[in-house]
Amino acid sequence: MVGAKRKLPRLSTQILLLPLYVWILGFLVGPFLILTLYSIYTRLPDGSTSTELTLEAYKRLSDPLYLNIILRSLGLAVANTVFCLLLAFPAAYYMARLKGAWKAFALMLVLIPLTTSFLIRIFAVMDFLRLRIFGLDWIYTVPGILVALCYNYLPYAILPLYASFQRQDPRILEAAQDLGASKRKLLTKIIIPMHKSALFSAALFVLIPSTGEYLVPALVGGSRHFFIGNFLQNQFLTARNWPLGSALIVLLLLLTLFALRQLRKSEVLGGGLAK
Amino acid sequence: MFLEIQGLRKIFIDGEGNEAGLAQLDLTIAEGEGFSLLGPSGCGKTTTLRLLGGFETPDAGTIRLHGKDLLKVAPHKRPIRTVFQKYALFPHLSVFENIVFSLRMSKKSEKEIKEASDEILELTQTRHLLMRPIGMLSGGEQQRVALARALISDPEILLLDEPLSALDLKLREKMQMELLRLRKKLGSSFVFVTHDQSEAMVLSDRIGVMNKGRLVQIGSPQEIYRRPNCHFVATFIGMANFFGTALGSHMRGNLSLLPEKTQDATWMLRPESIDLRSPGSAIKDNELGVNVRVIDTAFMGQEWLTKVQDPTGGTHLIKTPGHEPFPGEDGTELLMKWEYDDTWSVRNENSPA
Repeated sequence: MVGAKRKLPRLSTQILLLPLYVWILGFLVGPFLILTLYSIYTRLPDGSTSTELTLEAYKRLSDPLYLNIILRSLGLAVANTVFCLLLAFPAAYYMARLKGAWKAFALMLVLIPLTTSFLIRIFAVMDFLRLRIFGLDWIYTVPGILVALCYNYLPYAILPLYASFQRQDPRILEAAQDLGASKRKLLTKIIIPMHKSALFSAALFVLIPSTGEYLVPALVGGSRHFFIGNFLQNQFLTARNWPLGSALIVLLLLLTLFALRQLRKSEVLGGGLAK
Repeated sequence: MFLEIQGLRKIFIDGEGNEAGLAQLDLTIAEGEGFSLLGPSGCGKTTTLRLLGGFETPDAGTIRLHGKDLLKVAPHKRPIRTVFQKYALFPHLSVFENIVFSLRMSKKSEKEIKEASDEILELTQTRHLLMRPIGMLSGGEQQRVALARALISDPEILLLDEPLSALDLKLREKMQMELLRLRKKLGSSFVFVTHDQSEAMVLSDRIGVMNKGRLVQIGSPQEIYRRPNCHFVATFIGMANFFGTALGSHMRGNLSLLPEKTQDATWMLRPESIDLRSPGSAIKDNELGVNVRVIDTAFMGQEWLTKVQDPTGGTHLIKTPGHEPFPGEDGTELLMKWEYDDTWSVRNENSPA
């Protein structure tokens, strides 16, 4: 809002918000502070930690071996995001234009996978990948991991786009056409710019969780491909190096926050009225 | 012929399972003409507009512009622009980018864009709006921007869907004059779609009255108002009073001097053609008169609106000048009189002529 001053909510509102505060403090801020502490503790040879403070874990993260894992994970997440958006955009667009029962049916098709167990979905995709489509090995390969990721994250990309397309006034598209916009111009000059904040949300919903994805690389990738998720599991449970694992999480979180801030600044979110 | 529409048809099934749309349309529109399609909602006028704009494909029929088949031209290549009912401005673009959108689409040079926009900004008085976001424009301002956006590429035909319906009365009257001025200045044909008869009369050279998917009557505003060809047109365009031969025995004057009337027709009188006098007043040779009883009166400023009942039980609405004295208390007996020439006979059904 232009010129509107932010006021603190009233006391009654504050009381109603209490569960939210407890949730955020207890399950987000608290654990993160604990992890931050662990990341600067010293690891003892037996896998336990002492409260002696050190930056050893962060130094080790700059090792090319770990940097490589981080970059590979980011690359995989970005690729997954791109594929999800490419598939979700047309799907959501046509879903929003369906009528009545067909629309409900299409929406159900998108939502049903979300109601089934994540594990069952992954095993189903693994069976699918074993089919050697195009005569290629898919299972235990990076492209296979990508297919499984894409399948799992697609609904999170479709839903925000669908909600946004749903609100699209069809007259605006007709007006653009009327004023001489070809199909391609309609897409690049009207539809994409008008829905860029939904595109952005869809991208975030896919990108952020898939960066730390653990199960898909672990199961679909077998034990051959190492990504952040497997690395964390390894550090906390197998190698028992809690400071190193914690340091990676802290680093990831800071990276995410930084990226979000940059994106927000670079006007990806501030389209239209915010100028 | 400039724009020629023949046998145009587009039927769809509406929400209640009824057929709606356009049953049959034959129409020609001249270059530079202001034409209004007037009718109640669901009469097919908007369907016609959407067919012209290319947003719908007809079931049958042809649309020709300068003799060329317009249906073969892709919607985005037609020399036709539309001003949508709620304007449909692009919310993510500035006012300026909205206005020059069509020039950008046809890849005009910056210089051409500058020249064309200077002219249209002047003509539509939108220059002061350029810095404002679309969301901060009032209804009238959006209307101006929508007009500028549609007119900048000098279309041969401008389609306007209920262009003034979203504006308040004062603004509407102002924009009506603006639209007339723009059309005369630019020489484009303007095709209006409206359900507001006064809007249609002010804006157009000719009006096509539509009902149930068909054109019922085409004519100048005067013809449509004074000489409607059926009961539907008579009542849709303004107020109308009707009487039949039954009133003849109570009437002073000669019924045979009235316009010829067939069995399935009735005589029509506009409220302002009637005078109210005290019973027994003299009537002239060219006048008819009948004694009536006042049921209700209302003062409207410019005029009195009086509702009266004739001896056969029929009621009539009468408009008399506001500067005349109060027509009479309810129940007062009065003489209503009018000239033969103001009477017109109209068919009872609204089938096409």
